[in-house]
Amino acid sequence: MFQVFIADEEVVFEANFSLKEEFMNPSSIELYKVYPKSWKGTNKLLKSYYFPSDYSRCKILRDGELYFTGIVKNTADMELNPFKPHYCSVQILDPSTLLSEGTTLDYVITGKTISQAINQVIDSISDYGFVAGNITIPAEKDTLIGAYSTVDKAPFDVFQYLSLISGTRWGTHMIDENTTAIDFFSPDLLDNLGTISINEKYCNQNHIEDILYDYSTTDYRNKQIITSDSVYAEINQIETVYSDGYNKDFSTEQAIGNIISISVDGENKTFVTEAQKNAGYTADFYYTPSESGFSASDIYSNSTEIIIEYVPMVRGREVSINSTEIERISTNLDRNGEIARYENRSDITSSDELQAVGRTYIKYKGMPEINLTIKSTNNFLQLGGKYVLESPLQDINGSYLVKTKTTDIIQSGNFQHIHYTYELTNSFDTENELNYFDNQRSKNSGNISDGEYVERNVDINSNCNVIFENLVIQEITSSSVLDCMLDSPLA
Amino acid sequence: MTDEYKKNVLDWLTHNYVMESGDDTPQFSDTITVQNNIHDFIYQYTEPASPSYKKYIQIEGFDTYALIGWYDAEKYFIVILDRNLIPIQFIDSYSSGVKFQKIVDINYDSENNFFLLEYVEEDSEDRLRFVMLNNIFTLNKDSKYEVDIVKSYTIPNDLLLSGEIQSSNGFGIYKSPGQSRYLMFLEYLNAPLVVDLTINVGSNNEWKVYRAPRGMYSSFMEGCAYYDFGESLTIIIPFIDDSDFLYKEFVYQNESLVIDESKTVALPKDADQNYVYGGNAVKINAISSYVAYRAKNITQNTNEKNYVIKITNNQFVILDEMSSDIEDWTANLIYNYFYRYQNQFFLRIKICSDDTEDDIYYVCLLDDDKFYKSPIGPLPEPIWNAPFFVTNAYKMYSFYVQIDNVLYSKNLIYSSNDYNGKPYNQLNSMIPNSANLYDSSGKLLLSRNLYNLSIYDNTTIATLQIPNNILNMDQIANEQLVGQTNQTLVDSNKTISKNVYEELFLNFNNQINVIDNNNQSRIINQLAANRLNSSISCEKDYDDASIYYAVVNYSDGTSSNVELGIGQYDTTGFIYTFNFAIAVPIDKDVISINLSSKDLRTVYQTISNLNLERGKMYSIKQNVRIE
Repeated sequence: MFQVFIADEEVVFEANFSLKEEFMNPSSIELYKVYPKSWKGTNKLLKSYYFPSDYSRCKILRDGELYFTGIVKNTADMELNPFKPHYCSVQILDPSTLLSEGTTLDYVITGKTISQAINQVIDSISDYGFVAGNITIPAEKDTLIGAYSTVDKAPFDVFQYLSLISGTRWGTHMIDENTTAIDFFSPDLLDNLGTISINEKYCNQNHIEDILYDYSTTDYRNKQIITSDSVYAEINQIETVYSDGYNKDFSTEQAIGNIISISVDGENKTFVTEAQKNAGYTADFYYTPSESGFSASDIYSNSTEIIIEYVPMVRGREVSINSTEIERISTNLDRNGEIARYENRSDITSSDELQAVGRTYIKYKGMPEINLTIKSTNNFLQLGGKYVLESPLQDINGSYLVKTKTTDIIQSGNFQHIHYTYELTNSFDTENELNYFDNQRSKNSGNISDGEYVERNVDINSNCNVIFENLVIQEITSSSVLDCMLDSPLA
Repeated sequence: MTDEYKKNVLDWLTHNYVMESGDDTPQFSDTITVQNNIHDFIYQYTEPASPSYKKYIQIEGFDTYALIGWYDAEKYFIVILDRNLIPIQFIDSYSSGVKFQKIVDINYDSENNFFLLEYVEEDSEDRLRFVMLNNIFTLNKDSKYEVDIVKSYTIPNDLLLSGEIQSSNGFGIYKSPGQSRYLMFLEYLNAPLVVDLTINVGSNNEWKVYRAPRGMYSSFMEGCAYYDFGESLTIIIPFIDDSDFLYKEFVYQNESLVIDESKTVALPKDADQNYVYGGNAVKINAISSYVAYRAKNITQNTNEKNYVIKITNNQFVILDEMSSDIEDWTANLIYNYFYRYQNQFFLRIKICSDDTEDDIYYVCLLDDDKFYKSPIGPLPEPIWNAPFFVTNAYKMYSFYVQIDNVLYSKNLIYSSNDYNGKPYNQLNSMIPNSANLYDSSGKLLLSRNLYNLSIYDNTTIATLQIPNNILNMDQIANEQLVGQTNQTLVDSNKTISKNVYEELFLNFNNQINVIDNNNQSRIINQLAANRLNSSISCEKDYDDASIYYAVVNYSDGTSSNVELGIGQYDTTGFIYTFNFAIAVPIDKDVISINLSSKDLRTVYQTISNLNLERGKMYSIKQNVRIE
């Protein structure tokens, strides 16, 4: 039996309802004809008005145990007609909605590994009831990230970013009425929670009513292009400029990210940023990051040689390719097999991270997305769980993530019937608001004037394959010992 | 990727990479000969007079050049040339229609606007006028180049002698950055004078003339002087006193030019060289100067031959006795042999026998105390001059000698901050550093260091930036990615053309895959590919990353490491075979064998499903092929 409390007041509602739980997206529940249980047996339904305040806490108990906790997000059909019963409809979202609407952040993450960055963000929103859950980042990806500004970003956006650059997925789960945990995981490292076997025995055991699959290439790509207007270059620039005896300002070919060294006629000089200068530091040279130039504190005589080594800020463009998939599509079509997607990021300042985001896309969207829908009266799959499908259809077998669990409750008196609908995906992509076709070109003017120019990229792709093959294992016998290399090492 | 690069990757992986030493001598291209018909192009306007040439002008970021010359005594012209020095347009008058008269000197400012000093004869009256112009490299609305007068100012005649007005030659005209002040360096009767103009708004302009004491000193090379408009004006004009083999400097002092005796030094020469002749000095900066001069033992060789060339940088000899191996040939410095572009210096040296034979020219690059030369020629003896010009864009230098209608050139890829010699193998050879672009005839179009380089997992992306204003008339046919020791890593033949509305980024996406194909199943080993790709891009990882052990894994969870010995390459060099033997213990099975790096961090290949019998010995041969 289910009990629902809004702002600690038990309410009654239309007997049938659905609870849709989504991994990584706020789960929601819609209740109809809601009014306080205390009104039952009175005429308050006609005389009083029920007003469940927005952002009221809501909890649902099942057989006395906490089953779902959420926030009243929307109400509807609130009846004011004095001749009609004054109940209403409410939509309740789980607290993870606060990740996107609770607050925006205002700090820079710097000198942190991925997992440290995740924890820093979680700490900063702990007063919303978020705690760290299972943070499982592969060791090789849990490296220091570049300085990342969270200014004006919701925690949801920052988690998305950290997920993309670490090749992981993330989601939430409820701890208790006031606490929600953030989970980060790599599907490779997830434990298998079981095998979904397509056979009569398994279907009978789990009371499976329907099991359907569909596949979609809507979001498929085997080549991902990620660009950013400004990233730290991975290669240093060394330039020689000459003083004209008048100007203190010098231009560089590229915008300066940070300076490695400056020498004047072979003698090393000091340098600080303009911000440091304003804070009271003095040096021989000053610069403002992201500007194509630097300034001297003194005038140097004409033709004085100044050598600067710096890390430039460049326009970043990284391409991630799944060459095996390109080959497969090419074989299928007998045409060019590249299926490419483009995305511009304004939140990334390193080429590595651009590449990491591209890799993540290719990892999770670089195969046709297969969705399984399983309807059952058994509560036998765990939201966010990883399961292996074994079916007679070889092409759809593999690992799946349970991304949605819908619980349909039909109640009548003491009778209660519950249906579960599970949606599983092989792409481990749990976003439900995908921008399927974001044609960047439509956002740009087609006109271009003298002096203006566009950035054009040409890719030259090369592969170098190291192939281990032609293994020969031969027993060494008295007759074959001479075939062995004389200097063959022996274990 | 090139075969050479792939073999290097295989050598790296199998611990057979051979280290070599480099020789940092820049490599000039062969001589390229192009019929640009410049003489005929100009002659159609100057006929019957033949043209002579004063100087070339280039501005960084522009794909066109200007050649200033004259004909028929003092009729001047400007020819606009394309990036291949093919003439585009002949200009001999201002846009108003008034013909140029004698262009004493011409230059451009930091805004790319030109200015010149012109000797004008009107109504039998002589004057020198300073003229401010437009940027003549910019097309007008009719897609033509033009020379517009923005303003002009006549030098007050009472400041100059009539001979100075009529016969001075310019050897430098400069604008003070950030000020409306100009210095004009003139030579009259082998003595220098400097005109100093400050253009004022709301009051009269200031004109000053600084002269040297009367005397015949030397000729002065275009661009030889040093100036600094700092808090107090600095002017240094170097020259060679042939009579006593001395280097001397005029300096600005109290509104005149005087010889600074403290800077007078003897030119270095060998004990048997008793004659110095025909040199010139160029200031590099306030302190240093290059001096190029001819020396010989006149008592042994009374004729004009057997000179040698010496070049010094502040008395330090950087070229000692450039001469000819051919008997009776002599080395000569003749006609605009120094070329200065910004703060870079180039030289042309002529080796000749007499005035009728073909000549051998050397084009030379000076970089601090380094000197590099390459013969260009033999070239036919020109009518009387052969202009010398060097263009520079990023790492690419093109040396040109124009003789009549034929342009002789050599390309050089050079950067004082990079290795410039022939390719060699070292630990940094596979780290991308620059890219070279060629047209379909193999002509170098661009050489530039990379814009960005990212190494991630098994992919290396090297990006070359090509600004919108260059390479708009060429078709790129060959793209080469070059490593830090000049090894060609990628040699691609993609046809690419661009236009002025495009800034082109050329991305070399290089991916390394490691594949287990023992069972024809092509299993990708991503971690191995990642390690190999990161290792070849890291100078410190070679020993640790190469395959060094066969790690034998037993059924009881233990393992043993077998040091792999020397394997075998096939005749192509693309296949390497690891040979080793194992003895299976009598008390446990061999589950698998890993071919691992020396630091055991990376397994490049796992050999499994072995079915080896206990107590027996086996020889194992594993091929690794690179494609």
